Amino acid sequence: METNIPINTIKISEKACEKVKEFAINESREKFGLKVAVKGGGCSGLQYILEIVEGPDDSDKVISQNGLEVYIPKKAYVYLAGTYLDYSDGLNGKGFEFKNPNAKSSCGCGDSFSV
Amino acid sequence: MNFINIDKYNSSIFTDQNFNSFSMVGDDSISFLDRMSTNNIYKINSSRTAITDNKGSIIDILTYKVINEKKIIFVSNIESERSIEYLKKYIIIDDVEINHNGNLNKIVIFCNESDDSVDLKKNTLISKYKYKDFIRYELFLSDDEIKKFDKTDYQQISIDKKNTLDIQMRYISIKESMIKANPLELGLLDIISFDKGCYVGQEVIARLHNYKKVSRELVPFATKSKLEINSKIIIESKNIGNVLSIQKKSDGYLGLCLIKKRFSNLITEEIIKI
Repeated sequence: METNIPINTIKISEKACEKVKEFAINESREKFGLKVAVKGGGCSGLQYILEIVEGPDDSDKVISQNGLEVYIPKKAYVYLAGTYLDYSDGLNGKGFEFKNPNAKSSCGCGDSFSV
Repeated sequence: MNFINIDKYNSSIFTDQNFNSFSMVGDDSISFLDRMSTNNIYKINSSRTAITDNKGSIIDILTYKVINEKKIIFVSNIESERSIEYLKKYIIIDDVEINHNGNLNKIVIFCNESDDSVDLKKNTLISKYKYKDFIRYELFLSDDEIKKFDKTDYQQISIDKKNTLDIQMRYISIKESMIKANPLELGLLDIISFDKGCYVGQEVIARLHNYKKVSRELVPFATKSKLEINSKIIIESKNIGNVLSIQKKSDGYLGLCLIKKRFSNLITEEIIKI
């Protein structure tokens, strides 16, 4: 697992990228990217948003990784800088999993965090 | 022990002025307030809701009214910018704007359930609190609305009487300086949704509720000692809780305290003489 992600970017594992592409193909999308964002809510105050979208919004920061475009709203970027997004499957897998160095605490299910 | 005597006053009314109201406007307004507070904003369009932090402690209690799918109006219980700033901190990608919406007047109505004639369907910022057979309404009205409000069926009461009825009905007005408490400790079950899903503080509140781990409770007391809000309640050299509200009476003081549950019987025997 990646542990040293530069704070001026986020990193998405190869497996997570492949999984996003698989979901997009299953939805018959030709042009797509992954929106990664944060909004108020969840048990801990801030919850992660993952969404397959057609393209970036004007205010999104665009990062390209493993052949996948990732769009991060600039307002959410401050909470996500340095994050590593992984995917684990299987019976004990957690699905998409965020390793966020900005998170002081997370809720039990890992969907939300506080800073 | 039932010491409430509202029927003596028929329906009582207390009016207060100059409450800041706010509007929450935008496509995500309902979703945002639902994610940030304890009540189910989608299902209940006029009530109270508690804003809690991620530890489940109350930041504020809002009286809110959903005007339409893009607008909510609300009044802060602590009447402080602090909770507005707290909410604004969590507006990141949501289409939500919080603005000052002018001043409103507050009317508090106490009535027996059998005499309840307040129309909840009117487009008014209103909350209803029930304790046993007694109802406490809070209505927030503009200057024009308050002029039109028919008070003839109600007996005007003083702030002291209103505070006494609040204590008797175990109703707490949240103050900014108040010690931290969670909504379960204050008995606010009526404004917590246990099936709506995640909101800030939900994990802690749900766990305390489901595992019956709420360690403190709201208890009324009467004493001859002069106490103030946040005064410590000490029995046998142990600090067992704090005063949350207090009202001077002719023969002493009446109030509500938040105490550790294991001492509640002791408090009842030693202190409550109402």
